[in-house]
Amino acid sequence: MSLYQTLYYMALAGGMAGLFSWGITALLSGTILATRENWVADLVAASTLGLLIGALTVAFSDKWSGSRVVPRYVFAGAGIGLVAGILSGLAMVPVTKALGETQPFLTRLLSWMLAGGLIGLGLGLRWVMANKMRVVHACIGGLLGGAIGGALFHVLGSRVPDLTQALGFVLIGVGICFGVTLAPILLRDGILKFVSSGDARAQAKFGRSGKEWEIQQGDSYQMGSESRDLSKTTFSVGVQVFIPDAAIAPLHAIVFGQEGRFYVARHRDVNNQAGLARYVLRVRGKTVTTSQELRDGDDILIGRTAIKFISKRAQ
Amino acid sequence: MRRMLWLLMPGLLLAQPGKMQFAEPVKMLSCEPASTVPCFRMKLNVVDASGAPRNVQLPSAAELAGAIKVHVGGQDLKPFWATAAGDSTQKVRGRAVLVIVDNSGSMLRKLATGQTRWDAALQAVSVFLDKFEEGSDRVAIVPFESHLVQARISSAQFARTRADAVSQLRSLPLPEEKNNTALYSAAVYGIETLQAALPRMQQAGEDQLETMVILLTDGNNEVLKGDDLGLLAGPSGQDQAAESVRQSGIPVVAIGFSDTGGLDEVALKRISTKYYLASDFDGLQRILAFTRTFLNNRLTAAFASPFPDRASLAGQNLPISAELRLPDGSVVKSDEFLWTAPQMGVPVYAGKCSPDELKAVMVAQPVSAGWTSIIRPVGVFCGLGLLLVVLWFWVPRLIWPEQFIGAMPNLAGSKWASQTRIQNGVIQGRPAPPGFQSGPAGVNMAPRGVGDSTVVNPAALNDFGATRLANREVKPPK
Repeated sequence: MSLYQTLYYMALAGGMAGLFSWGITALLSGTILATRENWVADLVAASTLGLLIGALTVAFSDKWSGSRVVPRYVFAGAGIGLVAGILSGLAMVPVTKALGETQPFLTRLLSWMLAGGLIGLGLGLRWVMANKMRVVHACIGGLLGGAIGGALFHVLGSRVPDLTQALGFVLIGVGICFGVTLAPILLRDGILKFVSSGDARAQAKFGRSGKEWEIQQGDSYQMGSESRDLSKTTFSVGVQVFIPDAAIAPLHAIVFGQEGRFYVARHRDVNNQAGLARYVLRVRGKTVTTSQELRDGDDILIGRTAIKFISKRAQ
Repeated sequence: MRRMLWLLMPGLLLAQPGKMQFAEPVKMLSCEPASTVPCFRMKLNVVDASGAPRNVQLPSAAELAGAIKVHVGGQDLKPFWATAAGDSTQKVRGRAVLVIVDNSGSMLRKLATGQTRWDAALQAVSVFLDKFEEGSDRVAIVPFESHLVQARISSAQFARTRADAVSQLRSLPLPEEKNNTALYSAAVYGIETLQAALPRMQQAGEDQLETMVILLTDGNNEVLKGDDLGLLAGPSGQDQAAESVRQSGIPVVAIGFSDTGGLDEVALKRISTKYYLASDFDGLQRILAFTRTFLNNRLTAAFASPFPDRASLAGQNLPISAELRLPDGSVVKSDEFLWTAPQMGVPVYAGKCSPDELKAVMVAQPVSAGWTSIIRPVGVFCGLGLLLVVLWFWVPRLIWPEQFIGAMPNLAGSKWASQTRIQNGVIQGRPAPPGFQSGPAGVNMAPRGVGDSTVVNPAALNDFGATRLANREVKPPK
């Protein structure tokens, strides 16, 4: 799946999460929340939004990265989203108290932005090991989605009841997921592009869509065949460049950017005699024993999979 | 029957143009089962320009609702029910008042008349109790200084008879010099006490009580070493008290009993909904009479929401104002009150309509939301869900067609399976696999035989759909 396809589907996944959370909120509001405090309604709305966006985005992103959907990650994403939602719902209380009467539009805008920003921040934490900036980008995406959703809800709320609120929830979900996905695309310094693979699974997954992985300076990305369900992490992504190739080690290589240049190196698990003999890692036809600088257009052969490195400078 | 509500200071007040003032925040109420349309209840006082109660002749009980016009977000509405608390033709609405009297050391200072502030305060409250209406009034009188503040205020007992109330007044402890003034905490505890007592009083058959906290003090908030722990002090304490008052929706009347500049008027204004300054007994007596009038001449009106259901009120900020046409033809208008829905969620009810209001709703028959309030959200959910499904499954076929149907040179632009034409067993636009070519599509090799086997050719332009027969040499299709 290309970068823009990932962006498109992730945004839609966020939109779906927003729609479902609106549905649940509407259902709850009609029943158990009918006679409670207003802030409880906000708290429930923000929490539901965070929970569903957290769960769905993790599930979808894992599915599209070529790996399996692991319940552990989905629950962790839902939990983090829920906590972020609760925090944003609680943060709305002082904002409403301070500005509610004098600046109603600003209050609503700020409340929605708070919800989007905090949920985005929580979800962005997933990629903090690979790309610290993605946390900020997810937060900014959530803020933007929240601002658009909140403004729409405030301005059109009375004219098209239900629809504008639902659209607001959809937009906030789209905004968060868009932010999580778009920022690395915009700020990428290079791309690893799937070319072909001798392993039918990898070829079937990535061959037709031309899978691309965006890479940034200052970050390091693990390449390997370790599926999500075998990873020992609780929430963060273990292998960022996952290739289901039997000839690729679970943790095979690391691509990292330093001082404007990119390098590929063997992972320490395969950087020994046995690893050198069994697991192929070649750049421009030469076996990589420790690390090798990548230049624009370089072919990387990892296992039986060919990947092309494209530098943004050349683009 | 019309009733004249003659208030104090008639000469002064009659000359002034009046206005209405919201006594409490406007509340959204559930009128179910009489109506599914949300209702709003507002309470108003007629006051003069200075905020003191104004002497007006109200329309009769039967005409009162008709004489009130409510402006809600640009729409003019008529209340379906209205009552004046002092209207003798109506069932008299109960009143619950908590009087909190400062008995700090400074209350022992003497006035020009030689009377101490404490004595003057007790005398004024005693006069206030002269108008006690048994059966309607519930009054509790508690002292506060800087010791046992919470315990004393929360032990308030709402007297149902004048004798009990006077007894409470007489049993107040005398001020002592060492007593300081926990003003902010007293306001907070007073509200909490009244809020806690309300359900008990309402359970006892009192419906829709008019409430008020009267805070009588002569000093500033002063909490020192040796006073109760945890008492509110400083700017943050003042903020907390002000917020507590604002959030409660209960009218809090602060009466400063001192000379101008003798106390922190800014703080008293912040921690109350109305503030008055009295420098002598007469002033104090007059202000206490005001406060009673605020309870007595309170207009309560209920009107149906201009929107059919709660979901339609989501995201709304409704400016609400009212005007009352008096029997003499003059009109008094209120300031604007901003009713605000939750920031993200659907507004929730602050309570339920009273039986009187429910009866009025049934008579007025406001528009019922009916099935639309159920069908609309379902329709919105399904509609948006359908849109997302289309965006998920169909739109990508337009943007990235090659990933769904592959490149078909002779069928450029075809997006659907129905547009694929199969002629003579061959899909137009896609060459038949080796050995299957036949008919008019062109035969370039002998038909497939029993011994032929197909080989997938991954070298053929990375296209795994390309195949060749194992025993024949053919060029991969380009």
